[in-house]
Amino acid sequence: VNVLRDDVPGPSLDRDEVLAMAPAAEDGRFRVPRILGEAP
Amino acid sequence: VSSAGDIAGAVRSGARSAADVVEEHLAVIAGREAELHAFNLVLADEARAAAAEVDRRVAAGEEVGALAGVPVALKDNLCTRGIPTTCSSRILEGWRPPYDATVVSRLRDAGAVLVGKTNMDEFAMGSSTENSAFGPTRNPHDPTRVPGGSSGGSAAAVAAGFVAGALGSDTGGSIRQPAALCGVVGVKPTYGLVSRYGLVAFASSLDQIGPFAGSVADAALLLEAIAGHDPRDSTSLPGPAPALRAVLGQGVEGLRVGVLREFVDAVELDVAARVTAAAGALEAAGAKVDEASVPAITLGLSAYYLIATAEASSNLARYDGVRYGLRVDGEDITAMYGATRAAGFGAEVKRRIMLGTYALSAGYYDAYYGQAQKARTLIIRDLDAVYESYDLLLGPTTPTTAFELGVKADDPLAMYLSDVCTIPSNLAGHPAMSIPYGLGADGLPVGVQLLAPALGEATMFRAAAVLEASLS
Repeated sequence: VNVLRDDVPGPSLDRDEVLAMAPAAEDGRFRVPRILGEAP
Repeated sequence: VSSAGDIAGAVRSGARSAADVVEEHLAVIAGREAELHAFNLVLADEARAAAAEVDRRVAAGEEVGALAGVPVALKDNLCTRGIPTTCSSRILEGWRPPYDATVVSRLRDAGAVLVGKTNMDEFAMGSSTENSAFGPTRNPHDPTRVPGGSSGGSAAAVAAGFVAGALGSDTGGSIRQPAALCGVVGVKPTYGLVSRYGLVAFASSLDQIGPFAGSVADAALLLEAIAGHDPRDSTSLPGPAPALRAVLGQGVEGLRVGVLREFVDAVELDVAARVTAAAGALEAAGAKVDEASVPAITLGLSAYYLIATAEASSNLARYDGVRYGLRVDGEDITAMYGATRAAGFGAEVKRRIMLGTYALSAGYYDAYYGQAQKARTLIIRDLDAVYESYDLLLGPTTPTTAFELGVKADDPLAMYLSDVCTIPSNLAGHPAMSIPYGLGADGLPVGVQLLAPALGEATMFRAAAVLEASLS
């Protein structure tokens, strides 16, 4: 029995609304502290 | 203060305005909320606006739904678009979800008026609502006592008459235990009957949303409104909500009810005495009642505190200071994660994340998590076997009546024992509900619990209605 729905695109959350709740965002992305050892 | 069913009937017919109903309830809240702290947030303006919209629709002759004008409260782990949803945790303080939980949309669509977000143990981890980062809720029957938990704010809000109904979540008893301690009806539906979309996850294989109400009929009304398939929850069962109000008058003639020995043996004598009284009431109404035993059920508490913590350790990994909620800066991302979680989570949440991480760690996985899942299978097998001979099981909801604030706060294992009678239904995915059934030796409410096999809600509600009627 196939229990998966049809592969039809649906609406998703608004990007700006989601990013507005992030502690830091920049250029449409989440901003985080440095991950590797590179200069900040 | 009238019942949800009476309010909806009067508002739908135009006999009462939703605006008046919401003002009456806001006045009750104003009178006692400072003492009880049932709410993290009271949405007075939003409630007034929603009530005005219901009244406008009634005046215009539009359809207003089965919960028209009914004031309801939501546990603060149910997402409300644009309205803070904290899980009573510092780590989510100030977060406003970008979407509504399915149950929230369904309540709104049914005409309910959302009055506030209720206090809870942080991330639903606790049995007294003392683990809230924003301070405890107190029991309306005796403010020196806890309301139970983790949905203690929702239970207290209904018991105090702040709202006509409320929603909570039940992972190991977090609806039924506070319902029992606050003297209200609380229902944990079959796993998958109510969509979990928009419920902040604690332990995903155990979590289920359900109603609190002042009567069995109101609980049925609320559950009918929120149940039924939701394509946005992959664990949602197919099919519509069950018809519950329609069966409430059908009685229990011929039903086979087993009084669960292992539960009765686990509780105080005054609580056990109320179970005996409830068994007598069902028998007097025509049910066939005798003692039942489910030996593996005694494994429940141990299995639960491995499975629930394991799932929690995974689910709570998302609180990392990146996408929402609290961030405490660090010099690199690892330091930021650690500082954020150290500052944002309370002691009980940290304890369970550590227990769960350990239970899942390489080398210990089979010994802890694997064993717990085997025990879970044994419990399900034993329950399936007993339901070949019984339609319902009856037992206590909690070992004791409401205990005093602080007495178990420093003893996690004593606190965990509060849920010994409620946990097995979560492990099995079965429905169960607590019905207020008289008072204990200390004069505080006692809840008795009805347990049913999967999707046995209709039978369970029939028996609940008989128990309720036997008290009056």
